[in-house]
Amino acid sequence: MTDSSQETATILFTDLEGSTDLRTRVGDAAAHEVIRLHESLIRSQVAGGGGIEAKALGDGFMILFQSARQALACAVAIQRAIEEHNRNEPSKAFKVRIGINTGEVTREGGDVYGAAVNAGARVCAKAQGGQILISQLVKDLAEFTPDIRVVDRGLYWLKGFPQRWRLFEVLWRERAQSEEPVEPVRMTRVRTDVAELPRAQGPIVGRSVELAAITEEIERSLTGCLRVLAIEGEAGIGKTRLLEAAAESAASKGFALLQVAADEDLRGPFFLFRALFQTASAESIAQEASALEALDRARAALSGRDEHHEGLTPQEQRLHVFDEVTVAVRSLAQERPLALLLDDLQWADEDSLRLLRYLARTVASSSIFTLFTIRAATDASAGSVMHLVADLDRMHLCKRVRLPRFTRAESGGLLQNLLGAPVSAQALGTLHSRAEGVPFFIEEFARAYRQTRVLQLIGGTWTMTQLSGPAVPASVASLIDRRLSQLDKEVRNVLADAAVLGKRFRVSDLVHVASSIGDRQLDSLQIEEMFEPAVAVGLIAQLPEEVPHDYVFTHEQIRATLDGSQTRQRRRRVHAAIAEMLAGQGEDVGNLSALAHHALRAGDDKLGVTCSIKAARKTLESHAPEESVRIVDAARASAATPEDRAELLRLKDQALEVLERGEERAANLAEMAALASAVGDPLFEMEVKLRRAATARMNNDFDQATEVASQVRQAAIAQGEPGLELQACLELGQALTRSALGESFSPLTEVVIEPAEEPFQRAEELARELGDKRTLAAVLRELGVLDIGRAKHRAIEVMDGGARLMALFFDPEIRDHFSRAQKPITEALHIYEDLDDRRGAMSCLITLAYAHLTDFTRRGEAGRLEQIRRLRTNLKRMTTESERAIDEAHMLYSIHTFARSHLILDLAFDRGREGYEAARAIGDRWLEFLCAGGLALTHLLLGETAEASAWLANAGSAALATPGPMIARRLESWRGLYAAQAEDPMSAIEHFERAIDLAVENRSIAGRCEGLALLALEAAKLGELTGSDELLERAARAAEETRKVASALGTVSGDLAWEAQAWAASALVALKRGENDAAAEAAKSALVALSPRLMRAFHLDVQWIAGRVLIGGGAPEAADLRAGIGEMLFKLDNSMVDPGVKERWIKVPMNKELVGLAGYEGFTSAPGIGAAPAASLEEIEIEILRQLASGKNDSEIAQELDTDTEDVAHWFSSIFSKLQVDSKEAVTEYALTRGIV
Amino acid sequence: MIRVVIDRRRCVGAGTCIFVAPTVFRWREGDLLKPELVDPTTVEEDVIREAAATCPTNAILIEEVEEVTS
Repeated sequence: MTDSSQETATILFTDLEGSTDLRTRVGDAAAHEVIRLHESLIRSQVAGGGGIEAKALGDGFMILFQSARQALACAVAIQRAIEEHNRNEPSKAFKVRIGINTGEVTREGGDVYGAAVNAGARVCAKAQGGQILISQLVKDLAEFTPDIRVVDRGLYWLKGFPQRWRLFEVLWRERAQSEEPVEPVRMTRVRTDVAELPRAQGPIVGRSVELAAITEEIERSLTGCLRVLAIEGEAGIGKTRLLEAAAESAASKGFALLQVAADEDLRGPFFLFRALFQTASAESIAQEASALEALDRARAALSGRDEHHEGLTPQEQRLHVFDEVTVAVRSLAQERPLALLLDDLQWADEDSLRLLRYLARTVASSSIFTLFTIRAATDASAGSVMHLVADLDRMHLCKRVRLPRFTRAESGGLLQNLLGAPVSAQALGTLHSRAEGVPFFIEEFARAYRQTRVLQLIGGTWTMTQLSGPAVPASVASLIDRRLSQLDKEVRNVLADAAVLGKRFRVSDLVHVASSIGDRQLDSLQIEEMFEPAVAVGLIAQLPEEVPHDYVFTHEQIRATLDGSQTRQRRRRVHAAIAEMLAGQGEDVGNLSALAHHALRAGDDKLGVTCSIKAARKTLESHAPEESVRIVDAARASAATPEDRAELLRLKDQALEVLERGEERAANLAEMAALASAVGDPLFEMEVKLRRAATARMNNDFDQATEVASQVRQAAIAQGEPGLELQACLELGQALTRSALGESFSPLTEVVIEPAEEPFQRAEELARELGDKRTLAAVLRELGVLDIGRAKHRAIEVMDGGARLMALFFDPEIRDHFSRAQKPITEALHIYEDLDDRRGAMSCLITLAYAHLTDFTRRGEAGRLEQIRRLRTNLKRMTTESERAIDEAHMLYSIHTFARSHLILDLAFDRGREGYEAARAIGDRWLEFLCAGGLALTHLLLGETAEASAWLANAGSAALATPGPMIARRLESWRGLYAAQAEDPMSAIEHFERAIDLAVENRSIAGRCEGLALLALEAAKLGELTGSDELLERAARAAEETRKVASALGTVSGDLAWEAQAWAASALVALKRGENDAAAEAAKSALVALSPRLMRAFHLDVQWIAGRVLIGGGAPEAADLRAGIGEMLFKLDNSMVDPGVKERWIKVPMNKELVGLAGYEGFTSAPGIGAAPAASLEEIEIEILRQLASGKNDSEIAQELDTDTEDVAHWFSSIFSKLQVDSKEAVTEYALTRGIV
Repeated sequence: MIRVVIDRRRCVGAGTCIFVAPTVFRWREGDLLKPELVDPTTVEEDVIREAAATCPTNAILIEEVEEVTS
């Protein structure tokens, strides 16, 4: 062994495809010529590429390289040279497969050997003609080679090697086919986690529109938003192919890829999302984005392992799961944009679809590109997913692409790609029409025709040699049958068993099936080997290691054909074998669902039902009620005992409760009640009773609910069942307060506090005894609410006694009730915070806002919203800074809207401007648009056209960033209002008409009615001003039409201000025309239409017109109307605190006239106090004012501010001197009138 | 089709949703404390989103409508 040496080398193997049958195909002489051509072509490339020919193998070579890059470059050069040769001499065309590996080799004499060499040969054997496959090591070594792109083809067994090898395909065609300059691309690794191996090679044929849509959506998502592309189409149309193209495109733009496929036969709670989050890609993306914690939390939530949230209502738990997943997805998209590729979504579980819908709304501003492929089907299974897509489409988040069948030209392109040479017109015609333009069928037919030699390469063109090809079956199913029949019988049998299991399957399952019912024992290696020919012809494909299954049928049709070939009995036996295997594998929820599925299919009812019960329960615990209902329904027919039936019904009731399907629930409950008595379990009977009590309460039958809950409570006490007593007390308390737990912030006036309090007090004791923290928190909050009720009752008493509003602040009883209310609510808040329950904590915060004196301030309800806003900043523990910023922006806008609708214009300006800035800060252009528009409208209410115009311009520029049908309509309406205010009737009418047209286009009946009402009212006002008959006529017509549309909106008529506006317009027109009686009638109708349920303040113009007609005309209604307007003006006068804004308001001619009509004397700022602006007060002084106004005394304030009473007294004297007042009462009034509280 | 759900545990009855979309929301019969749903199909879905955005306590959730099966 003197000349033996070891070295590291890269080994390249080539193999001439089909060399053995080449001779039989073209004859010896021609075959020899092709082989010789092949040799010289490869040798010339090797010589120029730095390789050394180590061995000639007859129809292939072994070539050594010192560098992996050189080997890669040479392989690409070989393939390109062959391609060129094939183009020039199609009659002598051939294909070569290439495999490359790197490793230690031993040279001895002229020979080279070693494990790395063997592996290289095996890698080559896995390639198809025209393909270059490389091992992981080669890929890693060549990582930074410019102009080389590879695709991960998954894991393969290589003969003689104990572990699977990950192989990559080099995409050598790309550059040759594109003339684009080659950029120094980095190695792009495209994941094909779950997707099937592509069948056809080369670029995608046709589909240029769809590919453009993919590029467009990917780029749009890069601007920081969620985009969804839904690819719909029939089976075999090429959806998965496009998904892979999208994956490649997204990866090249730096996206992190997450890919998963839904499966018809694989089930479990949130199956799709759990599969998605379990991929190794999810793990590595999370690592990169420091989002492992969020990912783990989402995984835990999805599998119901979330201990933090026991005791929440099921709906809340579900939302919690949704929230956790949202946070995880957002976090994953933090570092790099994220591409979610969801294949076969028509099979996704309902719960995952709901989650997707939730996700789409909540992560709309993250850079996420989502692609769905959906098989369009006529059956109901795709119903939910089609709804989802339609909804996303309406939300402007989604683009839908429906893949059409191929045109003849496209079929030709595909065939040329597939066959490597053009196809004759006649052959194309036959293949295209037989396959009806469905790409998968085209491939199948082409394959069959070629195999049967009906299709032959003649003079460089694939030509039909027989007219009808009688040997070729007409249907695709028989084509597949035919392909399957070419497999070994045993292989076919194993595959048929696999087809029973699903589109994706595990080898280990098949091993078990074989040992249980097969003709001979098989181990997994044997099965893998058996499958090699099936993989080679593309019937099945291997899946990468990280996914739970090993193989997938490359097309559903293949599985269906195989499954159809099985007898019913054999299917049952396969299911029974799997069930038997799963039965020993523990009680994980996924396993249980699968076990239930297989046991039922195997006809083992007992096992099937037992497992279904367990699976449905665990699924419900995993917050997937839809899946739970599905499991129950699948098992019900097989349940033999009443106990099993009862349990299934109970589980279904729980699921239906979460899903809020009332009617189904009632039917289910009735059945349950009958069964409960049949089973003879008193506890279960009582449980059913409580469920029925809750249902009665929801139907507003409070007496019935009270009665039933009391009965259960007594029975529970009698039997010593504290848990049941607690449930009964809760139900009773809810029935007596007439509101569900957590829903009321201030009790209804008719609720009598004491009797309602008793069951809650007992519930508090029981919850403490039982250590049930979440129930305790809920009960404490209710007890606090009842104390708020006491304060409310007392306030009514005080005011009825004729006291001034201010007196409420100093009423010790009210203060006492409020401070007593705050204690349990605060305790509840802390419990919720400890439990990490954000919604519970939020609900407590809102309730706390009610336990303050804000109800009695001049701002009234607006003051309370402000209080909620302030309290919300206390939620620091559970919210992130960015979430708070988003929350705050929305809150500001909502207070703006509230204030504007109640004509509290100073507050509307402040919060509107703050909201606008906040929206800009968080980059929410949509909110920015709304805030700007709201401010424009606020200015218009003061007749300030210049400012309104500036804000409209801001709204317009924000609108450009978030175009949408509603936004366009809104802009037109606002511009119309602006033009009307600017006394430009032509422009106003034009804008309103455009708004109406857009509403019609958007199918927004409400929008149309609104547009018409605005047109009527503004045209009437302008007509009245200018005396233009034309305008008056336009107003009259629009008013008439408004009323028609409003009555078409029948269900809500009476509550629509538009009808009132239309009548007011008619009244004004009639008045101007001198038709006084008609005017009076219309004015009265306007007042009737202005129901007390509307925000009357906002419709001052209606009242102004009615007042002018009726008060001016001395109608009998005049006195009432005058009083009504006076009352409203008083409220406005009191709620606006900025004297400047009030002054501007009163300058508006309409408002001035209203004040005159009502004879209201007011609209001046309060004398004496308020001279000093709030700005001159220190922060702490303002805080002290707040504390004082909320009813606290000096020592309480000191405690709150963490100081002593001396300090507080010092600050008060400073406040007194700054405000030039001398009493706390006056200071309180200042705080209230300034809106500080 | 989307479904609008009012989370009554968060709704404080400010009524901004009714102001923004009076054909989608209205005050419940009997009491004027909290709104109920009328007909979400009378407006563009953006209007419902706007109503949800104006809710001071985020009490309006947008969800899927079940297909009515006979």
